[in-house]
Formats: sequence, structure tokens, C-alpha cells
Amino acid sequence: MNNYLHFSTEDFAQDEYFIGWVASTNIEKEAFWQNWLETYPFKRMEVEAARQLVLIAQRAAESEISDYDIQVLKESVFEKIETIENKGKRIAWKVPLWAAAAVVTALLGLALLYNFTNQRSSPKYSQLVSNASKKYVLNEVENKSKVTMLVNLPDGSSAILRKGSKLSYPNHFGLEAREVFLTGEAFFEIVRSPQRPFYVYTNEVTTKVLGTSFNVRAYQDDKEVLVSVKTGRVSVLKTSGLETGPQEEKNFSEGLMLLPNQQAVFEKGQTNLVKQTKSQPGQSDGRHIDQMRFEYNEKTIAEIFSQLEQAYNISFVYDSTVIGDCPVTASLTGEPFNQKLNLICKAVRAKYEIVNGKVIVTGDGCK
Amino acid sequence: MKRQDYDHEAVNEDLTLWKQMLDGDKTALGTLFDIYAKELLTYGYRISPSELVKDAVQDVFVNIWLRRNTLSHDIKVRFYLYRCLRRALFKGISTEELNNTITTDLERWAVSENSAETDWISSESENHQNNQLSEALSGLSPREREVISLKYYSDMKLREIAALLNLKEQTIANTLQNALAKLRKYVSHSVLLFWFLGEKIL
Repeated sequence: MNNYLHFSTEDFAQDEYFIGWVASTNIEKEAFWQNWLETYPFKRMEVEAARQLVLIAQRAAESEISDYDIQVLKESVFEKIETIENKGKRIAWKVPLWAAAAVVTALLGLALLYNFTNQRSSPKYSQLVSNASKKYVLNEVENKSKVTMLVNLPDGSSAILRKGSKLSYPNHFGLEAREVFLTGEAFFEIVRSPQRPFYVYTNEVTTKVLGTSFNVRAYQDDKEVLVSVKTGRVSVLKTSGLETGPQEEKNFSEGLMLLPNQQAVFEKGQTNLVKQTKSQPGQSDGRHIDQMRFEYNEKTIAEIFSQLEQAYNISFVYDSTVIGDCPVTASLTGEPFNQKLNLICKAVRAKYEIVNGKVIVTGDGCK
Repeated sequence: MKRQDYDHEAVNEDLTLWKQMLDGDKTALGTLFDIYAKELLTYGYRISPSELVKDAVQDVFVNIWLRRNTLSHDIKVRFYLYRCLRRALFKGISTEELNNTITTDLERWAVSENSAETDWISSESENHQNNQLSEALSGLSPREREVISLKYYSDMKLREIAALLNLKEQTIANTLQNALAKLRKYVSHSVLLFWFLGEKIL
């Protein structure tokens, strides 16, 4: 322990033990400094100034970086790695021309055979997934609980998985397409990215979007597959084969284009998709997220968080006496979970972190 | 997520992840990113124009992955990442350029991102505080800002800071002393007096 008696303000501010006291709520350090100040009360001025100095220095070093920005950056790291590694492979593929020709012929043969055998039945979820795992490292999430489950996707989009449903998605999405595989039912809120469409593959139906929110219901044992739209535009197409990836626009022109409050129904055994207008347009605030509206006009943080808790089935931890009454005006329907949090927190100058499945929000209030 | 204490356990955990990453485990790279991205970005924003920082942090992680076959198994992971970032940032920037850009950048930061998203809400006292802080910061030299950042945000010891900046420990100590003397002007006296009296009454 240093002899603090001859310390100046700047000396205190540089001392590790002192900084530790300012920054944390360590009881042992607290006791030491309280005790020390009682012994040397004339040093109070220096100590208090040093405390402030440390706080200023810490604030000076901080920066506003949201978890959302970090998520986006992480994705770009893996994208760049993927691009570089794939380029490397292409260069390494220097095979004699005749060999290449032979391979192409063989592949063509396989492809024909494949199309032939698959013309009648659509691929199953498990086949789609095992095929896709050649291309990606896939994560599979299964909701075995009785309630809905929030899944945060690598691009910041969210999927709210209904009970008994399974969703597979890659660790990081490819450069040209974002692809996920579903059996069961999920509600999606997709980050807008026109250059990189988002595809949901199910055993019967493929859904393509650029950025919007919608629900897909495709249980293995159900007679029908249902896709309904909450915001934005969605294209729906019969799943034709295992080959996933950016589909030709002309494929989708054979499918259906859906607008908000419309849904596509596909009955198994039928060849066509049928478009319907939903009987109950999503005007009223329903209990499920696909009917909820997230339009806030001077709503308090407490009200908003309680709605989000219900919608995403995730709990919020925050000091309601500090930020609970902060008002927010925002239109967040269709935004992914992370984006909603990001915008709300920006509005009230708070920060959030997701720890052990809980959202921890901290802020200084808005008085 | 910034770690509260960078202790012995954390060092070992980093090293385990590092070795897994060197063996070709991409998830380990992801975890290292999760642990260090925020810390590195924060440090980056304090020493360099902001438009370069994200790219530099991206390059650091892309490069350690691509060069994993040539990297040592036994390193101080945290220190190594800081050094890589520093190199990535200062590559191709002259010091003079840096001095100019940093100041304008800090000014922009102080008004706290007036993007469309934050436009709807603003708080006067917050702005006032930020303005004072940015005034305090712009009085510091780039090196003083960097040392303050490493000492008070990254919790590095003087010895580590000296190694990172390739300077003598004594030089770092002097820089820190000067920086604190400058910042001290912004410790408000009225608040101080209030605190002083308040605590005495208690």
C-alpha cells in the first residue's frame, strides 16, 4: 500500500487502488478510503478532486458504440473472410481442360437425374438442411418450450419461433443471399438489404423478402402452408428442389406477391398457391406479435418494455425509477428486435446488453 | 462487452480461444471478436478519425484468421490485438494529418451523432456536459488522449502502455501527468465545495 499522505490530486488520480475505488463498489476498498479520510480529513479536497478527475478521464475515453453496430461489424468480418477464402479456392482450381469438361458432364448428368427423381415430391426440411450444411455451418434452434422463443439472426434480423418449431440458419449469411430453413411456424422481422434478399425455405414453399415482417406456418403434419404479411412486400414460391440460393426473378414471377394483410395458402397435394385477404386486418393490438403494432406516440419506456416483453417473450431489467417514465415517439412496426432496442435506447440515451437471455437497460434518465 | 477486470483467468481464457482459433476454429474467432470488438473500437475512436476505425478493426480480425498458420501460439492476446489495431490505423497516415482530423472528429462526437434517428430527442444539459468534455479533450495532444484512453478505459499499466507505444515508461508517466493537469481545470469547484460540505454534515 502506498503512503497516501503526501499524494497530490494528480497522484491519487493515477493510483490503481484509488481508480479501483472510484470505478467499482468494492466493499473492502470503500472501507479503506472512508477510514483513511476519517484519519486525514484535511485531504478530503484532494481526494474529491481526484475522484472527479478520474471520472472525467473515464468519460473522455468512452465512446458511443451500440451492440447493433458491433453485430453488423462482426458479420462483415466473416463475409470478408468468406470472400477471400472463396477467391483462393477459385485460383487453386487449375485443372486440365479435359478433366474439367468431364466433371461438368458428370454434374449435368447428376443434375438431370436429380430433377427427375424430385419432380413429384417437394424436399423435406431435413433434406434442405443437410443439403445446405454443405454450403454453411448451420445452427439449428428448436423451440421445445411451451411459449414463443426469440432467435437473433446474424444480420440483426429476428425470428420469433412458435413452440415445436425448428429453424436452421448459418453462422453468417452469404454475400448474395440470406437463407434460413424452417419447419413449424415463425414470425420474421427482417433487416432491409435489397442487395441481399432473405429466403425462408420450408418443405413446400419458399418465401423471399428484401426487408419486412411476415409469418410463415409450415408444420410437417399440417395440410396447408400459410405465409402472411404484416409489413412490406413478400414473394412466395413453391419450393422446387434442394438447390437454394438467389433465385431467378422469373421463378418468382410464377409465384405470388403478397402485400400487408394478405396471405398465401398452399394446400399439400395441390399445385397452386392461393392468395387471400386476411379476415382480420391487423389494426387491433392482438396478443401475438404478428398482430401487434409498435407505433409509439409519447409512450413511456415502462409501457414499451412491457409490450416488448410480451411480444418477444424476453424479460427486461432496468431501473424504472430512472428511465421508466421517459417518453418515446417512434414507429417501429416491422423492425427487428435488436433494431427496436437500438432506436429506443438512442432516443432516451440508454444502453442495452443481452445477458443470459435478459435485456439489461441502463441510462441516466431524461430529466 | 468490456471486461470488468482483466485478471489471470481472463488471460488464460483468451489464450485457449486463441489456440482454438489458430487450429481453424472459426467460432473461437467469433468469441474473441465478441470479447474485444467494443474495447478496440472505443480505443480506435480515441486515436484516429472515425471513418477508418471500423475498417481497421475488421482488418485486424480478418488478418489474424487468414494468417493463423504463421502466428505464434503463445502471446498476450489482448496486447497483440491492440498492437494490430494501432498498426492498422496508423498505416498510411501522417502524424500531422492525424492531429487535424482528430480534433474535427472529436467535435463531431461531442455534439453526439445528430442522425435522423436521434433527432427527435435532445437534452440540453447533456449537450452542455458534452461540450465541456470536448473542450477538455481538444486541449489534449493526440498522445495524451491515447494515454488517457489506455489508462482509464483499457485499465492498462504504464509498463504496458509504454510497450504498446514503443516509448519509455517515464515518458508515459510524464504524458499522463500533463494530461491530468490539463483535465483538472474542468473539475468544477462549486460541485467540489458542495460535496465537501455535504459529506461533512453527514
